[in-house]
Amino acid sequence: MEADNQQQDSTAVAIGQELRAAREGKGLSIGEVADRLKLSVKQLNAIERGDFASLPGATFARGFVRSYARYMEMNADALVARLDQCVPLDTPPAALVPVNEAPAKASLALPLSLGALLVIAGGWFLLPGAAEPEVQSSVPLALVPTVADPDASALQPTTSDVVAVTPPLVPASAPQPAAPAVTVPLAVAASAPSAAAPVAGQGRIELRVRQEAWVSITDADGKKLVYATLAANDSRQLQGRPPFRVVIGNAANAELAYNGQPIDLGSKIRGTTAKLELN
Amino acid sequence: MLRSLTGYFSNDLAIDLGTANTLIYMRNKGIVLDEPSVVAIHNDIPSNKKSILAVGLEAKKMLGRTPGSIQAIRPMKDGVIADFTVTEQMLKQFIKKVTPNRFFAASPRIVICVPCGSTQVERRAIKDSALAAGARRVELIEETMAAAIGAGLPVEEPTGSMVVDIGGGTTEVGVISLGGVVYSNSVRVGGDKFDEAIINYIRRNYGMLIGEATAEEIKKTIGSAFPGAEVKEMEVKGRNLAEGIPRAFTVSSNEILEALTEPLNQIVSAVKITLEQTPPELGADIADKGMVLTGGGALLKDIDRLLAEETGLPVFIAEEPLTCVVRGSGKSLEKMDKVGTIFTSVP
Repeated sequence: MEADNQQQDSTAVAIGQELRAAREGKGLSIGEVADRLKLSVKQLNAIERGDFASLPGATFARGFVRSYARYMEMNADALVARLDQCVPLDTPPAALVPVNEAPAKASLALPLSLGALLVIAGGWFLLPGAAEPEVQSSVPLALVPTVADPDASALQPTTSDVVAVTPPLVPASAPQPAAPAVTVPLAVAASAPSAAAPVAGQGRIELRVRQEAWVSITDADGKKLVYATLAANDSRQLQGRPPFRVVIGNAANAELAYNGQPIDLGSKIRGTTAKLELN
Repeated sequence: MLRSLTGYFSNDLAIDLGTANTLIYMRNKGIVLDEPSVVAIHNDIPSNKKSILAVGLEAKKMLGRTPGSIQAIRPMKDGVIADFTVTEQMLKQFIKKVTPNRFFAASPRIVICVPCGSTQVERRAIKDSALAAGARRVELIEETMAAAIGAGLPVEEPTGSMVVDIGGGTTEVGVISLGGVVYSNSVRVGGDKFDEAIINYIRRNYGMLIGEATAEEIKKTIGSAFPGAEVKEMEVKGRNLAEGIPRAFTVSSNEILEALTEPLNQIVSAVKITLEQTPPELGADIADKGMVLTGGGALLKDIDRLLAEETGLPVFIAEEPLTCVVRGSGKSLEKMDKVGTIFTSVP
């Protein structure tokens, strides 16, 4: 904590010194600057010392530094950005956030599944004898993604809440020689025909960011495949054992594809961050 | 109970319904819309049926370039509603744009800012058009208060803060302390009046007619509020009044400064009147901290210098001045359930 404070102080002092150097470079006295900016000499001295605490408040300190820097023809934005470290505002100014125009299908998933639950629960209460067969008939439905049906695998990411049961089934079916070829989506099998290892329960993630974004992807073993800030226009290709836990900051500017299928991040964004699980 | 339940499903919005731009802030999301307040209406002549062709940015591109069957309208004038039905339609379209189609979507609660100089009738009109556009509940907040909150001023503390919000249609000057507006003044001068002054100046001195969009372009490129060290020039195209033929000509930043003198003086006098009327204790606070400029007009070059020279007080420009008002209204939205004092009384 103390080291933190010291670092903050040194940034503040450095900003003050830069302004002072710029002023002296122009051959201006502090009185002349005070006259131009209508600030008191006391306040300007405080800025040049890096003593922002004696100014009226964070907003004003930033405003004064901005005016001073503009007068000195320095890059005011960069200087104020550095000032963030020592004089933080309570809330950073918000940029324009794109609204996620989520497709109706995805947004309906929650209310519909709630409705379905209500119906099942109602059935359980009203017809205790009839309840059991109904539950049994719903089990094959949950297993649909293990069948090599392209439509079903396309649905998988959007309805991840519903089919969260399936991953444990994949390792169970792995010992049988024929089964893996059925469970693995076609795209992976086609792209890695020679390698035998990636086929058994491996997933492939492609990620591309248009702007700088923080990304964390962990696989089933908790191994961090990515845990870093990616630069703008960076892209990654990863392989590992599903399910993956994916967290993307600045998700509005990221594209994600899982086993060759593009994933709609729009419906997963909360604030600017998207959290999702890929099975 | 029911209110808190529906509150969970609704997307509460804060709207800065400005003369030039409309911005919408959504609770927990931030600013979700920033578009010009322009509506393009298609008038089908045989059936005399009117329909909305475009809203916002798309409609702005049509301004001054429309054939007879299309009308591009700016429904807000001088910070208040000039065309009630069109404003209502515009609000409806904007709200639809930002609210995702949800199964259980409840109609949103909305905070809208009003100029502090607007009359009760004008406030009522803004409130009604928001209700007609589908709001469940509407609160009004004075623009100076919203701008001060958005600029990060200590509005709730017992210290005076002064804010000058130069918008498209109005300039609002306010002194705020303890979460309330102590004194405010509003003049119907803003970005639009600047454009108008440039158009008039060029017609008078060059005998050329230019459009609003060109005038705005001139203002943004070479406009300034205080004589600078360098003189900038810009080539402009307009219609020569004598010949009736489009021609190109060159204007300099000094001429534009001269053109803007009159509206700028009105702003300066509004600021001076406010300072005169401010109680001395708050005046002392302002002398120490200065005033903050927000709104699109704050982007006019050297306007802070002009006000500083005229008043002898420190003047600084808020961060992201264009979005201050809507961010401030957004912050008040987050407090909506707890406090009512910052909202203005509604007729």
